[in-house]
Amino acid sequence: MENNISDKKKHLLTYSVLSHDVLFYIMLFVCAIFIVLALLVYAKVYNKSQSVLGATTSATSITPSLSVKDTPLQDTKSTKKYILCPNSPGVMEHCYAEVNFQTTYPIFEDKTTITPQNLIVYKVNQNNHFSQETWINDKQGNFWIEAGYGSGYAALIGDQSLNHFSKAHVLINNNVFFADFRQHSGYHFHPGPRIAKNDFGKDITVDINNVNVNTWRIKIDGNHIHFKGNSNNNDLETFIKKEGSEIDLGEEFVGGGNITTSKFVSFSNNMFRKNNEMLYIENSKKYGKIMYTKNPPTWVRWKNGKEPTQTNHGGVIETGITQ
Amino acid sequence: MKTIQKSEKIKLVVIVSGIFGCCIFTYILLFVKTTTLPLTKSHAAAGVPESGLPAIAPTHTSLSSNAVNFSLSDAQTYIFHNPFVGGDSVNGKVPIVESMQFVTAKTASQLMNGEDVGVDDNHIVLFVKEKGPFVLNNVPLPPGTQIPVFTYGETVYDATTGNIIDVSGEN
Repeated sequence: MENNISDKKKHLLTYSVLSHDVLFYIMLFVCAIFIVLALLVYAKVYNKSQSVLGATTSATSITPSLSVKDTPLQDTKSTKKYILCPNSPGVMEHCYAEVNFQTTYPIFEDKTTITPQNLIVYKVNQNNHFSQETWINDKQGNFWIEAGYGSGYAALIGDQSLNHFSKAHVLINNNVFFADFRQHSGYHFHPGPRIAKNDFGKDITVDINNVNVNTWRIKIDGNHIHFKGNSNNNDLETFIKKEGSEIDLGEEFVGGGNITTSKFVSFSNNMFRKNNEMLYIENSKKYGKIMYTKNPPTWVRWKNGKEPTQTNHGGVIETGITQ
Repeated sequence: MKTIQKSEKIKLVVIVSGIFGCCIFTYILLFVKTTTLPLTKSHAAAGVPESGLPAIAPTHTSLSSNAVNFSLSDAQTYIFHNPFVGGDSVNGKVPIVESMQFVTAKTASQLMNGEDVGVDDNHIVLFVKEKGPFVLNNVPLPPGTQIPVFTYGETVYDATTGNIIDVSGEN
């Protein structure tokens, strides 16, 4: 017993003498642990971005396959920018997941109902954009029109060395848009109004309609959205009369880094116009051939039980993105 | 018990500060590195979302269709920091602003081979033409399409709101 007490006293004495040094080393140890933890967290975050973007090395190697000469992307020195879209050789930066509908005859109207969700795009110093849309084009890509909504940043990657330029700024933020390409007059992107936060989940109709010779009218209507415009002097009609039409419905993704959406976006009432008759797209040879394509990280599927053969209303398409 | 000396107190303060700093650093790494797109104020009338992408901040507030709510100088400053948004300039070349003019939407449409500008013909817009060339890698394209390259990048700004209402690539 006495021995125990004296031991305790001895211990207390030792502690009181060494307490400051012990405390100092304990604190130093704790501090070191925090630093190590911080470094580990940093390494994890860094590696995560590397693993997402790491495919860029392969992606940039696709650059020579682009047919346009003297157009190396500005990031060729960088090896960590774009997600590779393995099923899209030659379409280096853009991943798509869509339902593709082709006909041998011309389609004069492409109409769908999109149920939008908030497309959240994270700000990173690179081009990023994510859109949900429909396209109508001739089979050779000579003329086309697309319409939908999306979010994204313009990063001006090639200009990073020019320090007067912004590194990244908002390109679109859940804005509806349409864009067209006319061979004789290039590409035009028309950003419309933004879908309000409380309008996510509420349908918007997207309609691309040939209203006159070489004139297509684009209308996007939703709860608060009423956006329209024309694609004038557009010879799409001439080409589709010769070779048939193509409609795509789904999503497009550009860039890499952290980009995500939390909920599925759906496309329903998928319709087209053959001469003066509005028809739902069907999985039938009678009307055309439907193909599914998906390129990670984008994906597309028919909603369970809502395949076009089951609904007779063009089916319901769901799109999403995986990280 | 031995009292803690002043130098040791300093050591303690330094250590505690270090730990606190590490915590802050960790927090920043985890939560502040990425941020979602900011919401910006709409200049439009209440309940009616306005078209286009917020760009040049108006210095006046007139809502008249012919209102020009910013100056060319404001536009120059904006464009200096925010060049063509449709894509990167080839080889990082500094784009040259070939023209920058306030015109009617009708004139802007004519300058773009009849392309619809999206506002009434008499509405005033700022038409800006920059020489690249530009790789249009930052705009939506159809599946299977090669990324187009254009000599010129054109941007149309609504002179009333300062918003971008058309982004074009042309040769």
